Amino acid sequence: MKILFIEDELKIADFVLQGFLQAGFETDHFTQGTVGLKAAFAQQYDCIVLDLMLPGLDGIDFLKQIRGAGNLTPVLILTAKGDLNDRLIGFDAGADDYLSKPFYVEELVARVKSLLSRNKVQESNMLSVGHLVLDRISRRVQWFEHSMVLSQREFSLLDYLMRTPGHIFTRKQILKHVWNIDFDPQTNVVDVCIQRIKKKLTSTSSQQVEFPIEAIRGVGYKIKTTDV
Amino acid sequence: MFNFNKNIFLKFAGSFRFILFAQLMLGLIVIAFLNRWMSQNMVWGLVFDKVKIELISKELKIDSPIHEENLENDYTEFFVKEVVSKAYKCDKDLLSQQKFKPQTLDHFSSLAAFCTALNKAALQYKDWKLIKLKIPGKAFSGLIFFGKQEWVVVKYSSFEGRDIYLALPSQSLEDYVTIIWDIRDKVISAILPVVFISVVVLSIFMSYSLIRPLEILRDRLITLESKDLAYPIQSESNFTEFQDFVDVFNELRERLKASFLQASRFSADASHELRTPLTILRGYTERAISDAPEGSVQQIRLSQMSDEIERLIQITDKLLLLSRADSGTLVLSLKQVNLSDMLNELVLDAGIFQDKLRVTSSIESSILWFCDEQLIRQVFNNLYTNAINYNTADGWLHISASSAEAEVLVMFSNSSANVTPQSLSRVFERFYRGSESHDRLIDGFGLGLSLCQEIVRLHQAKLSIDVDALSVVTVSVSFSPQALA
Repeated sequence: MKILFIEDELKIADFVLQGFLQAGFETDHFTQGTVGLKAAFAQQYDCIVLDLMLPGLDGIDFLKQIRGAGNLTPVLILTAKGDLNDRLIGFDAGADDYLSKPFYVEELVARVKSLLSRNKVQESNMLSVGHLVLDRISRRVQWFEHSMVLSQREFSLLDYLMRTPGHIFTRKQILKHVWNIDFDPQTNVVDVCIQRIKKKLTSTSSQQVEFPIEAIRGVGYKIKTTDV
Repeated sequence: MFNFNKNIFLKFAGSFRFILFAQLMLGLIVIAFLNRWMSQNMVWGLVFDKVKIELISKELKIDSPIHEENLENDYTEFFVKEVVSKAYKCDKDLLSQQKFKPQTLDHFSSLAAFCTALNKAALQYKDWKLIKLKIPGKAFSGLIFFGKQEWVVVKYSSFEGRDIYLALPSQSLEDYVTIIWDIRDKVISAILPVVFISVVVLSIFMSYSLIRPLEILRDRLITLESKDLAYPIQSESNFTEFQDFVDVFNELRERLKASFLQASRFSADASHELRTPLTILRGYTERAISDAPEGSVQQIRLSQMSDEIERLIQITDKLLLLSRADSGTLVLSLKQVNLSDMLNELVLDAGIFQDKLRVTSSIESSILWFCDEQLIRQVFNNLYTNAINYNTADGWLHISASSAEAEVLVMFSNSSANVTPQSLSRVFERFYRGSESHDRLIDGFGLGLSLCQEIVRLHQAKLSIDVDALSVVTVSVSFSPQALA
């Protein structure tokens, strides 16, 4: 897997590159759009990760130029601007996916992986980590032979964890994202919800494989990435 | 009730329209009285002038020398034949015969005697009674009595180098003048309603042409929003004064726009600029969390750090959203949203999170709103979070939603401790917190309500907050569900 990564901020590039390395990607990193453009024409990449605000050649112009030249490499754009309008401009210019700063490296890696495996025609409605498969349209989750439809909150929680596999989320982050609250609840609602999902899927299971939601004591939860 | 009326009256009395009307009215009354007074004084003079003109036009031959010895005869003859008869004649032309029926012409002999007396009197002023009226331009005027008749005598001091005395029966003159005055008074009373109506119409017209451009300008200013600052305001009047006024205002608007854009761009730029270091900070922190031994103190501390970074990110997100709302560049992604479901979800959650809090609700089913779901969810979450954060230890929260006549009202009522109307007046200020000291125990960024207000305003809805005597805080959002459809 070869990735072209264009980002002018070296420190961001640093931890992204580490994440890509851990995921087993081979990455060419450039800080300038013009240099990146040359590389994009000189070589065939599996995926391009592109920052929008670049010195010299702007990310959108970069995208227009490679698409104009018939290059159909999947492109994921990264930007500090996250509003609807900017997103539309990005997609119009030919981007395949969009991630706004600040982002989690694990999520970026997961998005890149899904771009690499994605059938161009089909939208990625299915999210899978190991044997755990989540259908994002029907809210149906599958764990080996067990399959069930999740409640809105349960789905939202699982979706949040599965989109960034391997990342440790604190309870506060989960509360903010799933329940959208900024206060400390008096009850351990996150733990209760996770236990419920786990119970529903593993109660009658004869599987010896451990359920991938892992509790990190004193911190929060993560989805284990098991290489199958 | 009385005060209300009084206020309206005071407002009207202080209005430009009323003052203009009052001034015009006062001016007209002054003119009318002045006119009456002047004419009263001048009518005598006019009458005598009229007589004099008559005399001149008849080309009186009065240039023959008058000798001392036959002065009496000459003068008498002249006076009787020419002056008095002409005077009567001219008056006869003016007025009806009856009024001026000469009482003296029939008695020539006595009149001649009168004339003698007159001339004697002319030579010896002391016998004359000065008349009270002042007749401008006349060197001498007076009243004499002849028999029972009162005569007005006027001396034209320089009529072709000679003094001429004119005597007219005062009664007939007074009748004459009285008729003129009657006519004048009748005319005044006849035209008074017309004048009054004209004053009203004139003051309405004048105040309209003066006030209307101002009112249009005022309405424009009231509806002026930050995004309209880019468009200059047009003058609705041709008056140069108003054009100056509008120009001055447009200059002010330009400056306001510049500083407004600067402020709005500043927070947008600041939150963009913050994003890169925050991304880096979060990237490294997350990395450190996953590298740290699982369950270690180090990992727990790092995760607490991560929560704070998360909070910073949320603040920058809110600042960005606010600056977009301020500059009018926030694009709403509108769709039909089931508000009842959204609110019921909050009620359910509240039961899970806060077991001590009594949460009740009365939410009408299937209330739909054509709105930006994400933003509206943020609004209700914020109101809900506030209702929990500023509640008492074992308080209550009531969420209600009802629709009536194309308007929906959503209310969050909760018990609270020490919330006063004074503290409520500042809740829409950015970075303001309810309690006097910035209480860090309570999460929230002090941007919540300000943001809610902006979002609600963008949806053409209304957000209001009230507290009653029992410290029950009620936040209500009212809107018409299809306002943006």
